[in-house]
Amino acid sequence: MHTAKKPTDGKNHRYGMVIDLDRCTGCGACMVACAVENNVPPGDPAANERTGISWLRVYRMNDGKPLPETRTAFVPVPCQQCGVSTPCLSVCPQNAVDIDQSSGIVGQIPVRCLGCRYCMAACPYHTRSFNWWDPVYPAEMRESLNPDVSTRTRGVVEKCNFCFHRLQQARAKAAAAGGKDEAPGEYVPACVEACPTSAFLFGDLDDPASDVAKAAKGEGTFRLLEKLGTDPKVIYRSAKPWVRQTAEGALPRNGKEEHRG
Amino acid sequence: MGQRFTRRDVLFAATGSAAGIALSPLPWKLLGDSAIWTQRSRFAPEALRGDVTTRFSACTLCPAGCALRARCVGTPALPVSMTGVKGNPVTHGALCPTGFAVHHLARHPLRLKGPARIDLRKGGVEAVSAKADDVVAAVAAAVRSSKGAAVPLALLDLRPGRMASLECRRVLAGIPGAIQVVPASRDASTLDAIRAQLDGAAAFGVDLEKPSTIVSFGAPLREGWGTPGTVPVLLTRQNAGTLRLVQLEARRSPTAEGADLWLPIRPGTEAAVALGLAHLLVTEGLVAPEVAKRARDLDASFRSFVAPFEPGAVERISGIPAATLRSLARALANEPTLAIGSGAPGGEPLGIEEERAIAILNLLLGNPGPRSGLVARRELPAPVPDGALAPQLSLAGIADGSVGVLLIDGAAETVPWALVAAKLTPASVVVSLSPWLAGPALHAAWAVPAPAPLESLDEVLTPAGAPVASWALAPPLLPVPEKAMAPAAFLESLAAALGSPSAAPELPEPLLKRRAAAIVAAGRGKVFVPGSSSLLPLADAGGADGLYQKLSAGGAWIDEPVSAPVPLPLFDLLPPAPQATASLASVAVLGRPARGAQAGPNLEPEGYVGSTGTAPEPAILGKLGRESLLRTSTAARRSTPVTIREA
Repeated sequence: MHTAKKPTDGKNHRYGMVIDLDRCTGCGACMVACAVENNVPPGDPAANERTGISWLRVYRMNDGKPLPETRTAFVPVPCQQCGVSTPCLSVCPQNAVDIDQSSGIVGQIPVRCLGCRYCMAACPYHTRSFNWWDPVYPAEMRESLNPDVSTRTRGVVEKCNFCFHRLQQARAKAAAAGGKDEAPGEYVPACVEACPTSAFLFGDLDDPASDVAKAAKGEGTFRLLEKLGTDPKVIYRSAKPWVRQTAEGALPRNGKEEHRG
Repeated sequence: MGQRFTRRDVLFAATGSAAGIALSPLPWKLLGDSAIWTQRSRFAPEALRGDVTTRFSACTLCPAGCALRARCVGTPALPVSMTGVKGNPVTHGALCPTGFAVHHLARHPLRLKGPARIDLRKGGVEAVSAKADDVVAAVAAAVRSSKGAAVPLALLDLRPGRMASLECRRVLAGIPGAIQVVPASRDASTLDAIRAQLDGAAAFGVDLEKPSTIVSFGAPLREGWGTPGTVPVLLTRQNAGTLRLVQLEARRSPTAEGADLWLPIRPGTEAAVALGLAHLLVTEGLVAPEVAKRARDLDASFRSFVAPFEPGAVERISGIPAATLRSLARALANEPTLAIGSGAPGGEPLGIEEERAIAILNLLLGNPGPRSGLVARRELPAPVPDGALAPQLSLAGIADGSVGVLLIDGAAETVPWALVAAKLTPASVVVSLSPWLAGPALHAAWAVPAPAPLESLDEVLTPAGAPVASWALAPPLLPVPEKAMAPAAFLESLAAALGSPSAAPELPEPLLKRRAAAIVAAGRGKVFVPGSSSLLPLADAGGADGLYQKLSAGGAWIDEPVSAPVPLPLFDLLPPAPQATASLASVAVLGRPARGAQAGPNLEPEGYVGSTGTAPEPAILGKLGRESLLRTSTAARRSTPVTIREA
């Protein structure tokens, strides 16, 4: 079984994020910023919440109490960047899933992808999207595509890669300045940068001095489906017990999904 | 002996070959290559190439005016992505979801590139291209034929207060009978109502760091009240337990869902609840002594006015249990509390009566005061206008059925159309100056599109509710369509066609430099520099030109806070005009009757409307609705007291 190697070299990083659910208002700025940054096209008119493409989805969950006592929390779910027994990596017949050892980032290489969707079936977090249609970029987007990210076509799977191109840019900048390593804070994914309430903390989880490493060990932290042992590098935090209990189990399925089976 | 090939040998050879090929890398190579070949699609667009640069501007789609840092590519540099400007003390680096794709809107399919006749007769709305001269002639003819109307020509300015607004008024002054009309500000309407109650003593803003409790009558506090930058402050305090948010709202909005206490009142009963709380404060002796000394009419007359709003009656009107109302009133009286009213996000403000009722509640709670966060704010300096200006009236101040020709200057329809339509004569002509075939254009006969946001030099005024005045510039990032026409230029052509030629409208740059000079002359405030995230004293900005240059480079001018507390003047709780008092009582009592007997809470459909009114949304925002169900109802009903009464 493929396993992401733990960094053994001091220069390696283990990038991850801590998302404070108590600061997420469900505005969706992270989703839009992610889509704009990564050239994710608007969905086909027939696309829905299952067939549309989103590298990061914000789910809504509540405590199950009757209205108006009900309380709602929003859970942004990007690729969880599994560190151990990465499920999508182990099933891909095309080596289209790749782990960058220097950053711990699980990447997807669309040009290698065959479209078998084994990875989608294997991913316990439903964070992968399949291109069911040829992408149609409306005129409003064609002239504003990000030149740092390739567009994808029908028949391939794509997912969040922590805006890996930004890491490459940060490394190039560091190299130009004569350094070998990106400076802390120089590399930040689009969703983290976009969050108006600073609900996202991002950085090197292996750097004990980093804010993200400290926050990851703070009170009220948890990971989604931790019992699977995939060691996600996306860590959540909430001071509310009901949020932790709900999210630790499984994300709620909406009525539409239940209806479709 | 010759070699013999039997059929069996051929089959062996074929099977062996197939097995050999299968065990070779060839099929896997073919699979991989075919994956690559099939992705060389002719549908894949090519991104811009060229130098990458950073430019600054501001989003002028709504009055929040969030500062933008644009990543631009190529020559000429075109924006490919937007982020907020970290460290900006006004917008705090925040953007709403639309802000991240605001650069898409200039190329939106509904974008109008030039003057057009709006054709509503073909089962939909269609813009038929027209010559600018023809549109001007047609509108001029309509103005001439409206001579009998009380207001032959009105310009509804949906973003009033800009220098461009002032320029339009100057040009309008040359047209007999023409006026400028301004709508009420949605987010600042409570603050304006308090100001009116105190005889215009001072403009007010809100310091969200101060109050212990905020009672919100539908204000979208967790969705970006005033500006999205206020949300982090609110969240931090809420999470720390130093601020309690009480949301009185019919919708299951994100703010209601995140409030510490959500009271789902019946739609349209905000005034009754506010007066019900006022009744309890007065009858239970919860009004602070210093307030009692300043309120001239806090006697039998006010008590008799609020008498009908005893908790039982308010429960019948609003659906809020009397016991809940009582405990709420007692809690509010014990801690610094601010009451804020607002319409739905992107929608219209509450009605005048509701805002007046909320203002009365604020006054009884001791606001403005040092602890509640309701702080005095200086006005944004403005130059003295040259020459005569056309009269400016509020939309509510115009008689119904009086406007012959209405020009609507603004991208987003932030006023219910029913309120605007009531002011029109039966034979009226509406002209939309919106850049899109959306919002105001859907009610218009003609469209003369103005430059869209990010296409022309614009300014950003103080956001509603901000504790201090501020000013910023929004330099253009995108080319403007050749036939787009600034509103002042259209008015100039119209004035000439009506035989009242006026001086050519001033260009944006000199106009805005005049505002910069006025700020420098006022001599106060600081300048935010985005590169270093620092604040410069105004004196070090390099005069008016220096200030203008710094703001063109993404800076912002921020006024100094008013340090001395506002002395509370003597005031009247009830409006002096008897008909205004009667109107308030009538609206509050009638509220909205229950829609039949309902066992559960009376709720409007949950929803989350955009922050841009009826301006078109970038297609990428479909990620939030159809493709994720995060926003479950994009067509949410926006019930506010005004719309309910109109219904």
